[in-house]
Amino acid sequence: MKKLIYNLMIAGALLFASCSDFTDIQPKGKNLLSTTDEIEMLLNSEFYLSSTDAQMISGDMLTLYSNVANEINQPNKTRDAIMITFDVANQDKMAELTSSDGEYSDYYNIIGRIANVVLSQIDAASGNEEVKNRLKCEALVLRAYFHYLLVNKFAKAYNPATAATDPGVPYLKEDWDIMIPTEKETVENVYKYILEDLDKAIEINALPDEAINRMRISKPCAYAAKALALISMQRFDEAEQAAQAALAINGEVDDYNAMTTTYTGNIIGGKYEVILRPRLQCKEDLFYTEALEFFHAIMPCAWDAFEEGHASRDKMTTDRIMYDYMMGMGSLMIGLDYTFTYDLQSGWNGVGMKTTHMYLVIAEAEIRKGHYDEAMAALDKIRVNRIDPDIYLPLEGTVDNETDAIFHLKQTSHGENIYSCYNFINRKRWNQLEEKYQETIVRDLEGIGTYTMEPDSPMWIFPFPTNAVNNNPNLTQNYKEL
Amino acid sequence: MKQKHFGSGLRSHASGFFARAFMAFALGTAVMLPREIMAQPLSVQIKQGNLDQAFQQIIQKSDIQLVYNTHEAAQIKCKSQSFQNKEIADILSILLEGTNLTYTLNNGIYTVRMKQISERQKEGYVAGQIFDEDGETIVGATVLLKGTVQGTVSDVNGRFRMEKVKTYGDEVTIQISFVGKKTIEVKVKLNSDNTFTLQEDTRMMSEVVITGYQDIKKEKMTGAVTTIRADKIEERYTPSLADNLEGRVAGLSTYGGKLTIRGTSSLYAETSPLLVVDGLPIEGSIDDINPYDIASINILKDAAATAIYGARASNGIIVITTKNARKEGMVDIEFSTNITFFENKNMDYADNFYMTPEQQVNTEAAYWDYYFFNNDGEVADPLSSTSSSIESGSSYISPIQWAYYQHALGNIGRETLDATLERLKKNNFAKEYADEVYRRQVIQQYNLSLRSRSDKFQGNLTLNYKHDNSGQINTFDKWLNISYKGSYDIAPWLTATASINSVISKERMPGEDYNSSHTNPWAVPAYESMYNEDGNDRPFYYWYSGNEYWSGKDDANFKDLGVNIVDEFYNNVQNTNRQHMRYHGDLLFKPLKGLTINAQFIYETEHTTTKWYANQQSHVARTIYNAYTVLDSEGKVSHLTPEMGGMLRTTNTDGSYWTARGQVNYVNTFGKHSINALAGLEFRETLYNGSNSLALGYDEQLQNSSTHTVDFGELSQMKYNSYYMSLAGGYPSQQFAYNPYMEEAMSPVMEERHRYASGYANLTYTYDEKYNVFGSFRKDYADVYGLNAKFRGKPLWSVGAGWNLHNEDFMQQLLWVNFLKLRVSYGVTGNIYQNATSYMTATSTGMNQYTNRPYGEVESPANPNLKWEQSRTTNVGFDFAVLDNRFSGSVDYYNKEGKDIFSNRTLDPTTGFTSMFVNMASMWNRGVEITLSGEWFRAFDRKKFGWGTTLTFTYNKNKITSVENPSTLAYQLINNPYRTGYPTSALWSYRFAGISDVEGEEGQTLWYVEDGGKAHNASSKDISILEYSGQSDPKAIVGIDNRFTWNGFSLGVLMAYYGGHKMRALAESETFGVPTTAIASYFNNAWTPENPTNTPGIGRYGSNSIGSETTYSNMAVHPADFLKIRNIVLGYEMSHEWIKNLGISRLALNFQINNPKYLWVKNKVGVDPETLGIRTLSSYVFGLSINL
Repeated sequence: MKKLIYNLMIAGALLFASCSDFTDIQPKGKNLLSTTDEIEMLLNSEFYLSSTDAQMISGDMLTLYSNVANEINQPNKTRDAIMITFDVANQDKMAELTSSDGEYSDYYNIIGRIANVVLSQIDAASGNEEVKNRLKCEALVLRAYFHYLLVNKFAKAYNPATAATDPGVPYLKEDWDIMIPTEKETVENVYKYILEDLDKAIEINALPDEAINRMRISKPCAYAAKALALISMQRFDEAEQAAQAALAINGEVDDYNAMTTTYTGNIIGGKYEVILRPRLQCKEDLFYTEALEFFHAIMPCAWDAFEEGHASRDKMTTDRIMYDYMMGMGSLMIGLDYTFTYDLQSGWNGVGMKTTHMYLVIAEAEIRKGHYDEAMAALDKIRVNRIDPDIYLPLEGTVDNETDAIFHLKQTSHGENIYSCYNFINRKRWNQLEEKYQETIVRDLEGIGTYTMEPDSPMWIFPFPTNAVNNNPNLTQNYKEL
Repeated sequence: MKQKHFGSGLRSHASGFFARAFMAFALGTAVMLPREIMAQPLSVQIKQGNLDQAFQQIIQKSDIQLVYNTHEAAQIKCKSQSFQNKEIADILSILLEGTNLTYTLNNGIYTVRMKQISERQKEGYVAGQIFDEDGETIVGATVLLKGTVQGTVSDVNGRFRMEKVKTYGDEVTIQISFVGKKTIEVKVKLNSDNTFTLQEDTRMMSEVVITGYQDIKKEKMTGAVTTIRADKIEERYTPSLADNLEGRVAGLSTYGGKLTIRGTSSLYAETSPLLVVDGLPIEGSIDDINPYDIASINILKDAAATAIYGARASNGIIVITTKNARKEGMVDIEFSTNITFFENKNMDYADNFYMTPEQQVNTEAAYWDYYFFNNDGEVADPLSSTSSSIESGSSYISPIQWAYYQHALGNIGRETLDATLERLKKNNFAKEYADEVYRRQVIQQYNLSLRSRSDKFQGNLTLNYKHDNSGQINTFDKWLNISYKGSYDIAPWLTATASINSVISKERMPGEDYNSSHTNPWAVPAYESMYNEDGNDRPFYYWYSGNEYWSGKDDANFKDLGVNIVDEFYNNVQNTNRQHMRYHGDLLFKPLKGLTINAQFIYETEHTTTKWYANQQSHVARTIYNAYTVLDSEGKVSHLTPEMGGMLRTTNTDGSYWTARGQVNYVNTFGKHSINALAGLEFRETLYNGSNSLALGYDEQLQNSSTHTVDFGELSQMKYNSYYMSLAGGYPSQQFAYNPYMEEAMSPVMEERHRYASGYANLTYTYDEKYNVFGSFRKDYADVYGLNAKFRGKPLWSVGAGWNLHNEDFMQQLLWVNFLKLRVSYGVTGNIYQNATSYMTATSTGMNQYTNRPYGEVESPANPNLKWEQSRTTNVGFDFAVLDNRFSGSVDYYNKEGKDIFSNRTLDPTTGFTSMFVNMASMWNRGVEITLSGEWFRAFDRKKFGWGTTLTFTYNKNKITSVENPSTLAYQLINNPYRTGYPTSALWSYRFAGISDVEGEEGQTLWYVEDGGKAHNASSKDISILEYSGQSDPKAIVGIDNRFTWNGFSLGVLMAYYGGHKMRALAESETFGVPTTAIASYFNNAWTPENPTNTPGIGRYGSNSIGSETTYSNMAVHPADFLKIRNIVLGYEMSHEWIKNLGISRLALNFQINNPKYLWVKNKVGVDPETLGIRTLSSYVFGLSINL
């Protein structure tokens, strides 16, 4: 009898084991992340990333679609109204109204769903070592770069005196258990980790000089991200070195004066020469992200801050061109007769890295050393490709003082970065420097009011969205912790 | 001491012949035995049976000697009754009451003998013929003169004749009984010849429940099950079986086309019940079951009934058994047909909640009058704007707009304009459309069954054909079902059954068109006409198809995109051919008494070919042609797609599914102990895959194509740069041609494969036919990728107990109780969400549209703790039948607690994820189910009046007790409505705050937002601004089925009530300017400054920003309760007498009315809650059924 029971038990165990084997199949139509090819697919993400918050708060643009006067005067504050009026007093309300933040979730998506997945899966995957190393480097650079963008939006800009205690953002690594609430790092630590990741990518040295396309990370990206982080940390010389290392591999700047097409007006069919900045084709784009520069109202002061003859202003497709300069949408849409960008064809690379950023880093570092000619030469590399050739004059050899040099640096930077998040990042960064670099943003809305934002205003720090705060007790608001 | 009496004692051992011979001798003979017996009181429990059995019980319980004729006594029925301390003499008197027997006591021996026949009695004969319900004669039915042992049996023709019948009056009462039929008692005249019909016995006691794993008597069942037999199903005709179940099964809902049992028990996983045919689960749809071929349907509801299905049981089970031949040695031929005629569609504008042509002309004329002549400066330059909108070609230009434009230009005078308006008012587009496009919908269905049976073999062949003309030109749906089922007793210990079922269907319908609305009569203004003034067909210009007045219309480089509505139904057609095969094999071994071993295998294949052919003349082909036009360097126009031919898109899909099961059954009774046990293993695989193809330049006649000449890479990147419609800012080729027609046709059909394996066992133990206990156990495995082995095989189980009160001694005095059973059960069943995996996986089919590189996106973080969803159901119920089974029913209360329900867990977006799927939600469904049947008048034979009523009552309350919803914005909650404390079908609404009169947004809706504010846009506000408006699933469902019969006629009326739920109907949405379609009639009451109503403005006060808020407005929520007559069935069954000479055994005619106008609706807006608009079309069915 015992033997029989024993045999039955064995038979039962075998049957259940066979049930288990029978149902052990791999699903089709799923990427199982088990080969380098499968993992590489994650890196082919579309990177459609907008930067409207940055464009709005930096004072350059209005990125809303309702009557501005109505929006501001409503008794109930809206997030747009608080941002437009730099309404520090209502920053808590703004935090409350930020139920989610597209940039916050998009950037952490890239870190958590692309970079960290690659880093955690790549060692176990099948495929050759070289490819594994390349993918690992790409992931490290993406992780470092998007943390850089996050810390710039949601924390105080790096200040060497206070960075060790300034609250930053969580730095997510591949070994973090996502069921445990993430913890904020200090600004100093965030930058420390950024540099660690970038140095590791540089050390492994598996990135190609030029990637398969500009939505993928190449070797100059590692240096460029490092240059951006270092200049934020006010380590100017090291930043310049990194910038030069990036430019040594790719130093090209595209000529906007030559990248044009003809636009036909919708009312009388007038023909206008406009910039067509082709997506993924610009050599100056080290890392390209997609977004449309479309239907954003340019503040008159931002319009005026362009250098004369700048293609990004004078040849930009706008609502006025669409209506043959006979009318605009501004009055109708926002109650202000501002010009709207209306470029459905170009890719302006709003959140990516460009060689021109590197020339700006070099110019700034050289100004610090008092080498104005070198600095202006770096700016000219950009300007010659932006300013109407009929009026272009080189700056090199014309500037002999710091004030002028800083003015040209800022003007070139403004024109270069207006359709991106970098005017916000640079202005915020400069506010941590000497007074001559600092800027008070003045928004003059004709007939409605004039609003200002001081260099040390907490408005420079965006609130964490409530969908993060509500699910993570560690995420206290940085703007309150200055 | 006890000595067996030879009469009774021998009978139980001797063979029939010997017993009879001996008894003839024993009758009337006093057997002397030298024993003195004192009169003694006796307690005895007499069971229902015959007098012989009753006497046996008395003999066993006492020491008396009783002499009687066992043969005669065995023919006299005896009710169950109990005696406490009664004298034998009294007991015998009671037992012999009403019979023609009496007893004498002599020397302590009781002798039972015939009473003396009185001289005043008349004597004669009684004769007749006995039929079953199908008109077949019944051979071997017992006919007994009531109260006597005089009787006979019917012969091979069902005839009987009883001579020497004696009675005091003119009438005698005879009882006719036959196995499986209800016994009838009829008074007949002496010396008469009659016909009798025996009906199927469907009493609860004899009912057998088929669970798919076993057949078990209702008396032994502890679970909640509803059984529907073929005769019930055949009472009414419905093309879909699901509709036939409506109102018959308490707990089952077919509301909104969604079949559910006991509410919704999952949020994201499957919620429809599992379908089982002839014992095994099938993947095919319930609509593929031939409704004429069903012997019974068992709906398993609680855990004790369903738990054997384990991880697939949470939503209840529908077990269908197909018919078998019933009579041995005969070929059974059955032919049925039903033809359904639908009433014509009501195309009246007002009835369909649209403005009449006249109202629409007036509304539009007022707008253009304002636009061109009285615009107060609000329209900057009406003439050039109109000119540019005509010339852009992207929009329809109405004849009213054109006439006003011409008037404004001075080309026509006011009189001509007015005359145009008057002319247009007389048009009625919908009526013309219906005349050209719609046909009366007719559904024909024919069924032929051939069945035969011998002692070893039975075979069934069934053919079923259905044709539906769909009520529209060049549209149809044909369906052919052929099935064969045969079973063969190979040896006494082995039966083999095999069946093949094949469904072949062909469906034709209009092919899709992204921007031509020719299939929608309401897409065109009411005042339009299908014809030009000369009577020719008039082409229509839909969105981005140019317009009548556009100068680009005649450009020879392009094709005109006008649509001839009728032609388009022939030019762009989609044909779907489907073939579904089901092969089912079953081997039944009977090695030992009570033990059976069963091996079953089912294999299903489903192949579908969909061909979507838009020929060269179609609007689709012309759109493709124009969308890919380039101007070459020499200024020459050229096309990137073929000049000739059209588009053919073919999709082939294949499904193959199999299940194999091995099972051991053991059924046996040991004295008072009875067990019914089974154990088995089941393996199952489902596989689905397919392919797509695209041909351009295809010509059906020539069978050629020129797809290879097309550069799809170039086509995929063209967005606004076609040379066509350049004034509209470039033709949106990707949106209007690439995405709708090409993109999907070039991508693969994703393969999906699943595997399941299970081991299971259950046991029912019954003691003394009174007490049942039941237990079942099942362990399931599924191929959930990476599922932790610890959770994979989580056992699912159930227990149940039943108490057959009617078999208890203390119930024996309650003669009016025929059946009473209490049931209680508890168990855990499962459900699985197949889209979740334990490992981290990514999507595999993405294509980066900028770099054209394949990309994958991680969907969800790894979740190593995935497990089955669980339903823990407690069920308490009872079944009863009283007053000679005239009233019967069941009452059940259940509490179904869903645990570990898959739902989103909100994550901090810092992790990169906003949510993940975890087993963390919970909910409950609680409800009461009542089924009551009453026979107010029972018709013992055809001529009598019969009236029966069946009422089913279903009440279900559903509540989510815990769920995390990651929605933070109002519109997200509307799309994903699950919240703790609310039902799964919760409706969330924006709160209407009136119509704005603020300049710039006059006539636009306002909604309450945070802090009591009002705003026009509320969809991206916080979820707190929404209000809960009730649930969309009905809470209470009542079905009332009345059936009257008389003299072959029958009348059935089924009523259905649904209540306690809400609907969204006639939402008052906003519009830009005036719509260029039929206009909703609520705009007759549109807001204006002079008439500030709560309806959005139109025309001048039209919206400049339309959101989704109006669709989900609390103003659009109405009670959805209704009471309807579903159908009225009038039937007539020919008397067998009349048709027997034609060789027909049964002939029945039916006339049925479906969906007459509703009896009552709770809403005040005149909406049919089931259509959310005009009422469901009525239909009329003519049916004929013949048995040979």
